[in-house]
Amino acid sequence: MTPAVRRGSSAVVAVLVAMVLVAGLHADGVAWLRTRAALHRAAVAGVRAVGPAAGPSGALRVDPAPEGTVRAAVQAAWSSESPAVRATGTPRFVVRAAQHDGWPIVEVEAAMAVELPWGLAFWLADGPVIRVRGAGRR
Amino acid sequence: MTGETWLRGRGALAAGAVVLVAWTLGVGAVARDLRARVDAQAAVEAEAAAGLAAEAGRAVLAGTGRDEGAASLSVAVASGSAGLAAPLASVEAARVPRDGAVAWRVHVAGPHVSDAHASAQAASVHVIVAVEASRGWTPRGFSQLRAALLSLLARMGHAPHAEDRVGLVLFGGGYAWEVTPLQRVAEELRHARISARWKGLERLSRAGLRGGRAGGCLPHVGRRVDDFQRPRGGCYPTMPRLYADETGVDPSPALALAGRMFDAADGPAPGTRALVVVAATPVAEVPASSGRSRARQRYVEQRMREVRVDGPRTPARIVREAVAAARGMAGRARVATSVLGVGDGRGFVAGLAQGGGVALDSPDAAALSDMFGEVADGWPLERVP
Repeated sequence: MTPAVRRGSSAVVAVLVAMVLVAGLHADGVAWLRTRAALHRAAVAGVRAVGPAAGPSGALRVDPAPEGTVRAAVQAAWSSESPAVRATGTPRFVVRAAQHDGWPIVEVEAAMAVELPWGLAFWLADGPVIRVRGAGRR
Repeated sequence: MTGETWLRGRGALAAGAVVLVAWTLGVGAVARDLRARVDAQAAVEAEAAAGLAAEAGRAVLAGTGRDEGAASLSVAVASGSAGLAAPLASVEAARVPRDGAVAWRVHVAGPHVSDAHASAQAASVHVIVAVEASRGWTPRGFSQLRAALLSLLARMGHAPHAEDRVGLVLFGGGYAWEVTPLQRVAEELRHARISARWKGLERLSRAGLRGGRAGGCLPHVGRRVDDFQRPRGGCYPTMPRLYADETGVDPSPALALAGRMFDAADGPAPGTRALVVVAATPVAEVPASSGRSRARQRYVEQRMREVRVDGPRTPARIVREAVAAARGMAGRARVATSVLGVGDGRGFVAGLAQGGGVALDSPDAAALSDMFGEVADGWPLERVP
């Protein structure tokens, strides 16, 4: 093998490595966004569980029962996501009752450190954090 | 510089340039693709925010009749939902008048989102309430039913969609009657007329004297059991008659009548068709003798549309055919049938709950307002294009 051929081969290998790195970056980004969308759906489902669509039994009070309702809805929504999404990590959901202009609202915060397969997530280190607020009733 | 050295130098330079170009192009493509995905996701989240805002707005309006609180509440909902675009350049939520309906427009703009906005409003709904009004109601229970019907009407009147409509059917004894044809509630005059009519709503009229506890009915007995002449029209002359031999309780004619009312409604198709069946009496056999007294007196109800079942029917057949009818309406016209059982009517043909409707029970008719509210809370929103 001549030196020129060696250099050409090295260049091809370098291009391939660059393409693999780019593909990995893309796969990480897509997985991060997909996970984030799933967390958002779960948080919205939690808010809806005690929101105006929940009926009289869904009236929001600062006691354990509505929090349980919210958590159950969040978990059910998360469980309905695809196995590929759920495999990216274990989410942490924080449910808070709050007030906005005298109206009770519920806040659901979803956070997760995504375990990305390519290990290139240096720029996504914290994982997605979602906060969704919604209305309860007086 | 020899030729070989020059080639080596150019070769290395060219290889480096190829790698650099490949990397730059690749990263650029990834960045563009991810940005497009972020924008698409932000648009979906803005739409979810608009949905939550619209629900909040409708809830505030239904609860208070005012929308002052709804505006700021919807902003809270929107700003809390738009995490992807954070830090946000702007989030706006504004109530948009749209044929008198509640509509919210949520606009999200930020470093990743150039312009994402979505709107939602309460979808129009056609509601028919079918009340079993034969013998199971106490005067107090029926009074609570009246209050619940008026609260449903008030709720629909607070934040009406221009195409929201309501109708009322009474059934009992194997018959059903169209007491209130399906009509728009957004028109004040019609709303007032419906309200006045429902305030005077009573059970089916039996031959007898009005009186006793809380304005109840004291039916005649013996030879006068079906004497609707003294007093004329019986206990509640404005209501359809119930003869002594009409002991059946069968929701089938009410379902048939409601189906015709839904089909006959003109105008655009509603977002939801909802049938709410209310009963305080369990299903009872329609005997072969049912309707003979009525026929003997040659009485025909001419004040409102009437539907009756043909022939005797056992409770098993009543349940089977009523459930099949509700399922058919759900499939054919997307009717969500809910069933509310109170008192002895608890568990009234739970299989009637079809098409996304619910089956709710309570020992006390006082819970009917909340039960109607729970049914109405399930009516969906629609996106504003």
